[in-house]
Amino acid sequence: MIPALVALHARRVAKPVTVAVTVGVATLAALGAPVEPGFTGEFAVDADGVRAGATWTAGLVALVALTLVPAARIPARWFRAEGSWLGTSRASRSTIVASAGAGVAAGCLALTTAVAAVAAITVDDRQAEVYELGAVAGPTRSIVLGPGESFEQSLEGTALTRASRIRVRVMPTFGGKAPATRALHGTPDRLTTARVARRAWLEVPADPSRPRVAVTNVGDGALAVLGPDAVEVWRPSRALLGGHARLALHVALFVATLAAVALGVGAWMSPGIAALLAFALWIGARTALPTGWIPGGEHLGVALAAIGEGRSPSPLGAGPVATAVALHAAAWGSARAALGSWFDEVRA
Amino acid sequence: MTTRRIAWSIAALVLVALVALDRPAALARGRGSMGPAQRLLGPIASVAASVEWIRFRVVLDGGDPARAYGHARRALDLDARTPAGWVTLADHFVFGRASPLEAEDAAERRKWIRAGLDVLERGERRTAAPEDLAFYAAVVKATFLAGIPDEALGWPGGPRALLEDARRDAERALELGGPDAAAVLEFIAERLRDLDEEGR
Repeated sequence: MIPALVALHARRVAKPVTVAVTVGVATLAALGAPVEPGFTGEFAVDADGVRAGATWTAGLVALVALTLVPAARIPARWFRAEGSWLGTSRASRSTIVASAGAGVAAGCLALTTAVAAVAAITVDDRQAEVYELGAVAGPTRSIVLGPGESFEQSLEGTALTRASRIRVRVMPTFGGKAPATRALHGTPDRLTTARVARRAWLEVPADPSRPRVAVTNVGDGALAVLGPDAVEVWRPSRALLGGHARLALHVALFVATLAAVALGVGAWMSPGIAALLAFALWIGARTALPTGWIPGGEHLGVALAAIGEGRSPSPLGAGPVATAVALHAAAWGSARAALGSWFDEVRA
Repeated sequence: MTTRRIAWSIAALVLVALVALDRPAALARGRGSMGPAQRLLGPIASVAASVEWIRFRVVLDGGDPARAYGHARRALDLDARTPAGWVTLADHFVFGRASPLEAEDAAERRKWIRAGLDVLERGERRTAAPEDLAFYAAVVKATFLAGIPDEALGWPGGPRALLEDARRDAERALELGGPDAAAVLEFIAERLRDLDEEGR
């Protein structure tokens, strides 16, 4: 790779105006209200999580909108104006393409970092404990509890601390004498009663010495424990910047991969069409393929949702990274192949 | 610096100045309550607020009211001028959280009803159509809350206090130009006469 070429392409993707627009969009989304909206403070309002989620969502839309066309335009620049100096240099096709690809990825990472900075700066509640998902458990189907019936879930083998939180997803359902009911829930030492009139999470602190959670329907209505994965264990997280750094990696992987695909197909068609095709391919892949393996698939949605809840996303898994590496290789190969005849022509 | 860049810079400065120099007296009714996002985004802010209201409903149905209220708060930040947002949130408190299904005792019901009426009151100060919210507060108090049996709600002063409150709201709506407030005032007068006859 040629560092100067990498830097050149990074600057082309992350132009000052692009950085300014991305930061501007994310900041606008993050702006809180200076005026009181009418909440009395008698009930919980999670405004910070929602603000962080909105910042990231707006930033992600801006990133996708602003990076694809510049990335797809790179091969067109080779063919039109830059062939005379690139083609006559000693650099091989692979070096040129790899440098361009790395530059695009670096540009995407820089833009994503800018969004992460905005999101991390604008979240007010820095003292609050940040949690991340530790485990999911529970029946594969929903279970209906009649009055007096219980549901118990063992959490043996799950790493629990006193600071961990366990929550169970429930809702009232048909089959009882009343439309709403009451649930006695918690760990054996700490039981709490809650009225369940709508879908809700019953949340309790964990007891590491007794790794289980139980829910008993103590009302007159029927209570459904909503499966699959009705039980979630959340543990304190030490993620950098309250999880924003992790989400930045999820987002950067997605945007960089989409931009690489745009670069790859941009070698064969106009930049605008290539950008649209790259985006359409991502939508198609999300529909047809296992989304756990796709950059920008299920993991990104879950990570965005976690930040929206004021929690930290899980670290980036190996599946999306492996797919991203394969897609980068394919895209770079496509661009390299398109350079073939042009390279021979220029060097001749 | 090219002429084009200078022109763009001047345009950007003018835009920033327009946003920064907020003089409510010179602005249209309700514009003083607009947040920075709405001032900058204009009609797009209303669309974004609509998205937030959809998310409010989805998250609420998903069982996370704290986050749902966060979405409601953002929606009202983005577009405080439209009365529909304030009504949506007030409805949720008065007809949802204060319902016997969700609130077991009268004290809890009253707490949620007060929260809903508080939303309408604050909205009246910020919306572009305060007469709509004053009218709606009068309707909710006179036709719904005043009709709830006293033992189920236990409102201080009973239905009479609610009707008196509703009358003040309706009079305010009438002063602000609310078209149907007169009909509500007639209804309230009739209900007060009924209470007099019943000796309540």
